[in-house]
Amino acid sequence: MYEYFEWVAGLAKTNRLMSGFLVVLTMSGMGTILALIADIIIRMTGINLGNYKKEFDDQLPGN
Amino acid sequence: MLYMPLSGVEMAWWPLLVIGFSVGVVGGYFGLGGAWLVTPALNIFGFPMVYAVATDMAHVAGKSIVSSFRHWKFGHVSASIAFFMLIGTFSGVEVGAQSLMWLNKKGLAGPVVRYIYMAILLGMFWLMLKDYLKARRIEKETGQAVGDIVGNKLSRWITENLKDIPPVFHCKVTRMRLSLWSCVFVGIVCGYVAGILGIGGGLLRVPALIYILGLPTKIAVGTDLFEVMFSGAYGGFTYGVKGKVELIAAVIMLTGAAVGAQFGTVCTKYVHGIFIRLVYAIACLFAFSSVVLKQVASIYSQSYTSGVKALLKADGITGDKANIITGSITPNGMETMRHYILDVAKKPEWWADYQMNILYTNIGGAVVLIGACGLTACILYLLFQGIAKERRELREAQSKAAGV
Repeated sequence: MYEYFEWVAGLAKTNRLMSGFLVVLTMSGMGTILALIADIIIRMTGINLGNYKKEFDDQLPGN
Repeated sequence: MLYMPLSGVEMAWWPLLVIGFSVGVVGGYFGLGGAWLVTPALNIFGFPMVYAVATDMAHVAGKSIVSSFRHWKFGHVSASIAFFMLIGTFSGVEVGAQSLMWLNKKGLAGPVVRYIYMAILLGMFWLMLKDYLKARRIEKETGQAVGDIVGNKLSRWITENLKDIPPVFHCKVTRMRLSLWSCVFVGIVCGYVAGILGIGGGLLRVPALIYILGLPTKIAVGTDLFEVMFSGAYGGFTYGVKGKVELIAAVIMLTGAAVGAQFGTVCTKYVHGIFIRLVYAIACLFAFSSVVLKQVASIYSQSYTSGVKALLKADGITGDKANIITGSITPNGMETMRHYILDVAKKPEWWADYQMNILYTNIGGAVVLIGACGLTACILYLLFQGIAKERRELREAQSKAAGV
């Protein structure tokens, strides 16, 4: 894993555009994976994670 | 110890994880990105400022995906408003960045940026606190709980007067009919200020969505985080192209932030929007104190900066490299400054000012870190209290049903 980061850091000196793309790709990819894993773990705790009755519903237009 | 290949900084991995966790909790809770916490924290741990800002931007791109995902499921995200704001944000950021470069050329960037920042933070603190106190007063007078204050005179005037200017769209989440132009306008204003201050923009976008478009607090937070997914990715890309992102640090922070963001976002379900505003006001106060201290530090730096830069220039060190050395608070940077100030220039008075600059910068960073730890603890307490209450109510409902 560390080799990958070193490789991207090396690219930052030689191929900057590719380095920029890889930064975005790595962060968004990791973000998506971690969001899905965290969702599964939090779901296992039994907390209701769906839409819920909000305190401001009555103040929105149409009420 | 981890070696950062671009900046050459060496640091342990666990502070990155802790910083990520803390910013994940507070960011998921009220939408503030990392500029007020991650940048000073990384700076204290030895990252030169430009690498701290760039690494923060990259980690925000990933963190906002985690936070937006949860807010989306709770029904706190208006994708249409976020997309239309994004149009204005990009153009606003570019104009703001150009203004910053103009100020930089005039040598006014530092103090002007800090004074604007201070005014905004104080303004946000006052607006949010005022609403919280107003809600408490209404509660006292009527005896009824006030969960959130939706809309004000300005937002009603804007939505009423602009709602028929095409193109117009209906926002399902907020049940509002809005002109695209009002969203673009908010995007431009927030983007411009973000560009001139060099921050992500969440600091201004959440209040702008509340006070200009009249969105409920939770939807303002969710919509802001959704937009940050795109603006953060753009920021990460531009800094990545410049070769300033320490990817390994960003990924470790993201791992901590992914866990923290779950706690922060889930907590929003258990508290009322008006309470989020109170916590936001407190965060603004901490950030304000930190910027004031930074301004005091910069007053001390005026005496030696140009002199040391001249000495660095004589040694062939100019531009970014010279800025990093004169602004450094790391042990290596201090050693270099000591050499130039005491050995080369032989100016002990410059050294005294440099020490004061470091002292105030560190106090400013510590204020933010202490504030972030306190807010994180408060949010976690509210979360566990909320979960316990929900479970108790569920148990009571089940036993009632079983009794019937």
